[in-house]
Amino acid sequence: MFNFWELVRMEYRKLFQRKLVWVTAILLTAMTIFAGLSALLGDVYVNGEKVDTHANMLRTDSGYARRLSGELLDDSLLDKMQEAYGKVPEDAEIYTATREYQQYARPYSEIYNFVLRIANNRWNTISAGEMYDLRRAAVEQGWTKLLLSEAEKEYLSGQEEQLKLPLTYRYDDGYTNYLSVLYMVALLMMLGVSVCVPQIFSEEYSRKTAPLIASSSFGKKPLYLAKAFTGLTFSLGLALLLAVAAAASVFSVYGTDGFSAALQLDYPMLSWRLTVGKAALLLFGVYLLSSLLFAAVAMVLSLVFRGSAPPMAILLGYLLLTGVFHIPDEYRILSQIWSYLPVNSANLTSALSQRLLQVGGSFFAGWQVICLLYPVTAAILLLAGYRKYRRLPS
Amino acid sequence: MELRIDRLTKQYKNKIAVDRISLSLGTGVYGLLGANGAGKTTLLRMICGVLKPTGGTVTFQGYDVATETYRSMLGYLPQDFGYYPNFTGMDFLVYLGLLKGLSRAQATSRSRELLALVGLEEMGRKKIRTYSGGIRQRLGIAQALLNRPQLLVLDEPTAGLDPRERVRFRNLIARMGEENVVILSTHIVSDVEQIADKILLMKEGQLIYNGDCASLAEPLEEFCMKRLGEEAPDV
Repeated sequence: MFNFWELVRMEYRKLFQRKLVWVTAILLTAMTIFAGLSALLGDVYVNGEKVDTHANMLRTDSGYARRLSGELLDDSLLDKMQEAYGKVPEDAEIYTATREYQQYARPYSEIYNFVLRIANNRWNTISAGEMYDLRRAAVEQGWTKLLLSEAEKEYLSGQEEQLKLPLTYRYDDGYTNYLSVLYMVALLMMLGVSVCVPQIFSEEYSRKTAPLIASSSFGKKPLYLAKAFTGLTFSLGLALLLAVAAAASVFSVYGTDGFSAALQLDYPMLSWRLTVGKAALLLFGVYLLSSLLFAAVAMVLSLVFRGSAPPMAILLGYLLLTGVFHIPDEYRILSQIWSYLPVNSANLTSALSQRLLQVGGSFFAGWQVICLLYPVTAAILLLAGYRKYRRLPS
Repeated sequence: MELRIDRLTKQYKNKIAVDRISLSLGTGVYGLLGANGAGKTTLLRMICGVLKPTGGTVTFQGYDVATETYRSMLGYLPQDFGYYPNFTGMDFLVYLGLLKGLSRAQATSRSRELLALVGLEEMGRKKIRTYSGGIRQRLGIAQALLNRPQLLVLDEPTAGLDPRERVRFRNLIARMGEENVVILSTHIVSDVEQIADKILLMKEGQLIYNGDCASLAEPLEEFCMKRLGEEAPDV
C-alpha cells in the first residue's frame, strides 16, 4: 500500500539517527531500573549506629511475609500478631530496635501494618469480625467523602458483597511495588515521548523538506500515515521498554509471588473484587494506552507549531502540573476528569477510583472509561492532525 | 504536452505576490527571470502544488495541480531545498523515490542511475552533512529527475555549481526540454541565454514579457534591465 512499510522504515531511521533519541531512551531506562533497585541500596541506622543494610532487611522481612502467605486474616492470625506485639516493651524508645520486636513481633509486621491501617489504636484488642466491619464503615465513609451518588453506592455495595472475607494474606510486595513504580515510569515515558516524538513532523519544516514532500506523487497522505504510525509505535515501544525494565528490576528484588493476593490487602479502602496481579495488568494497560494518547497529542502539537520546542515545552509543563496540582474531591466532576488524564491515570487510586461514570443503567470504573476515551481521543486528534497537515503551506 | 496557467493569483495581506498570470507552455525550456521579490518562487510553488493559490488554476495535460496524476508527472527542485543530514545521498534519493511512487527496487536502481548522471557515484554513500553546497545542489537536481518528470520546475538550480557542472547541467536540461516542459528560474542570465527557448519575465507579480530568446534584438541582460526599468550600476 503506497510503500507504507518502506516509509515507516525510513521514518524510524530518521528518528534513530538522532542522538537525542538514544540518549533519552538509555537515560530513562537506567532511571527506571534504578528506581526498582533503589530499595536495596543503603544502610539502616538506629541512634546513629548502623544496624543493618536495606537489602538484608528486605530479605528478612520478605522471608517472614512469605511464611505467612496463604493464612487467613482471621481471629487466629490476629491473635498471634497481637500476642507477638504484646511482648514488645511499651516504654521502648524505638520499639523496632528491641530484642522482643526482632524475635517475636517482626515476623507478623505485615499483619500488624494491615490491622493498624484499619483499626488504628485498637490494633491490639480488635477481633477479625470487628476489623472487617470497621473497614466497611471506613469504605462507606469514603464514598460519602467522594460525593458518590446513591446509585454508585449501591453498585459498589454489590462489589463489596462479592469480596471473599476473611481475606487470605499473601506476600505480594513485587506487585504492590510495581504498581507504585508504574506511576513514576509513566512520567518518564511521557517525558521521553515529549522529547522524541514531536520532531517526527516538525523535522519537515526545520529541515525544509516539506516542499519536496508536498510536490511528490503520493503527496502528504501516505507520509502522514507513516509518520503517525511511527510516532504511535515508537511511544508504545518506549512504554513497553520502560515497563519491562521496571518489572525486571522490581520483581528481581521482591519476587513475583502474590499475583492472586486480594487488592484489599494493600488498598483496603477499594471495593473492587480484583487481585493485585490483575490490578497490575489493568494499570499496565492504562499506561500503554496513555502512551498512544500522549504521542497523538505530541504529534498534533508539532503540526500546530511546526516545530518541536513548543510542543516539548507544553508537554513538559503539563507533566509538571500533574505533579504539583491537585483538584480537591469536593469538585467532583473536575476532580474525576483530572483523574482520567494521562499520568494521573497511571496512579492506581485514579484508575480504580470508586468514582464511576454512569451511562444509562451501567457503571464504568475509571480504567474502563480510559480504555475507550484514550483510543477515541487519539484517533480524533490524529484525524484533526491530518486535516491540519494537508492544509499547511509547505 | 501543455502546462496551462489561468489567471493564477497569490495574495497576502498587504501584497499581491502573483497577479493574474495566464500562460500556456508546451514542450521546451522556459527561463523565468525577474528581480528579487518579483514573485518567481511564489509562481513556481503554486505550479508545483506546494502553495495554494488565492485564485486561478494550474493544469498539466488536463490534470489539475492538486491531483496525484499531476504530481506524478512533476519534478521540482526548490530554492534552498531541504535534506536530512544523517542520510546518505543514496538514502535521500531512495526516500524521495518512495514518496514519488517508485517501489524500493525501482527507487534504488533509479537513484544509482541519477547519482551517476550528476557525477555523485562515490559521494552517494556519504552522509549529506559532509557535502559541499555544490554537491548538495547536484543531489537536488537528481531528486527532481527521479520519476522521469514531464514537467520539470527548477528554482535557482545552478547555485553553487562549478563551471564544469554548470555545463553538464545545461546539457541535461537541454535534453530534457526536447520532450518535456522545463521551467528554469534563475538570476544567472547566461544559463537562460544558453538553453532557454523562451523567456518569461516577471515584475511585481506580473508577467511583463513572454517570448523567444532568439528573437531579442539585444543581449538578454540588457533587455531584462530595460524591461524591469533598472539601470546598470556604476562600478
